[in-house]
Amino acid sequence: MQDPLKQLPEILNNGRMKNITFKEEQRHKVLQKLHDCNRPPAPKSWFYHWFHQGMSLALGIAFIFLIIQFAQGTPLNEDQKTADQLVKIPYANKAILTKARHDMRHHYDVTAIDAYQEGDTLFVHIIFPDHLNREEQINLTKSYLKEVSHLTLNEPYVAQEYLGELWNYVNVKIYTAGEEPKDGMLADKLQVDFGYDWLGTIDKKEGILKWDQISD
Amino acid sequence: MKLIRNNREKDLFLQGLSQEEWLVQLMERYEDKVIRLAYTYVKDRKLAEDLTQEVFVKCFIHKENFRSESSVKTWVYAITVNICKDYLRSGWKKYIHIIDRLGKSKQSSALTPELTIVQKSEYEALADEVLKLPLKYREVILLFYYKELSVSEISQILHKKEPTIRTLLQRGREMLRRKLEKGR
Repeated sequence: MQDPLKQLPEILNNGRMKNITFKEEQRHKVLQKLHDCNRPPAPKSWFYHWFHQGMSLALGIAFIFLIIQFAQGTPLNEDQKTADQLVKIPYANKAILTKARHDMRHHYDVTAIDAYQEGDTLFVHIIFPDHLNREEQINLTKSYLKEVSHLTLNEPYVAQEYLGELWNYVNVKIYTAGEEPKDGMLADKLQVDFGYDWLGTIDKKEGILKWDQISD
Repeated sequence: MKLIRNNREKDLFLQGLSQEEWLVQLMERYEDKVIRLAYTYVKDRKLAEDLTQEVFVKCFIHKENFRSESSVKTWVYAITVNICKDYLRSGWKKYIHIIDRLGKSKQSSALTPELTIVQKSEYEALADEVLKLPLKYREVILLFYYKELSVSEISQILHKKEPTIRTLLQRGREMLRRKLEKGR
């Protein structure tokens, strides 16, 4: 028996496919679509140009604004941070330091005293003349620290109307004046004969400086 | 004979025809074949017309992609099959198609007595069952029996291996036989 599926072309073409043909109208549509594809793009209206340029400008400005915002938001580098902290020594601390510095220079013949504050830590560099021996240098340093502590005690934080943040820690470094300074910060400029650090804590309520020698 | 036909098909690319003339000739040769093949996929005349237009536009755009290893017919059929399958896969178009068909089903329900008789004929029943087969069997059966393509040509069009095509043909035939037996 013949396979009925072999009759399929005949069945479909004479049956339900008989009227399914591609008409002239469809052919024209295809050609029209191709003409549309090949046609050069129509010139844009003035409104399009205006709108396009306006949008570009607005986006450009927004982009620059974002970059500026981002640049302002980025954390400062370490040097800049340090410099900012150095200039922000509160008024009360400056007054105490100035007084102590003045006393030390006049009464004990100290070569130089430099101090700066970073956060809540006060760094003090004391440069003694080279004729003072180690014992004398230590005693003078202690007296300086006591004076700082004493001044703090005399002017309690509350009494200063919170003019600035007092230090919580004092870090002292001692140097002996020697050769000509070459470069760098004051501490680096001077020859260190011996150095030791004092790390002290001031109790703000009682104004008592508690400090310990951490190296010698 | 087949060799002569293939040469004649490839002549379409070798003749010094203008782009438009080439397309017109391509349409003259394949338009009815393409629209009928598209119909077997979407089962809607209007849609088949639209998809056929799309096929010829695509043929024109991708004219340079034609490789002479296959015949022009296989190339055009492959494009048709891809476009029809893309259409069937697209959710939005499917939705439009369903809406369209719902509208049409009311109109087509009023069949003339003659048409009813014709539809009920044995041959028509066979055609009906073929068109109701699941797509993967239907397309193979139609390409083989209706479009009279070889297994190798079908494998090129559907991008499937020849043994797979043979298996699908076998299963499709089985399915059809069972359905027709059940219908008797």
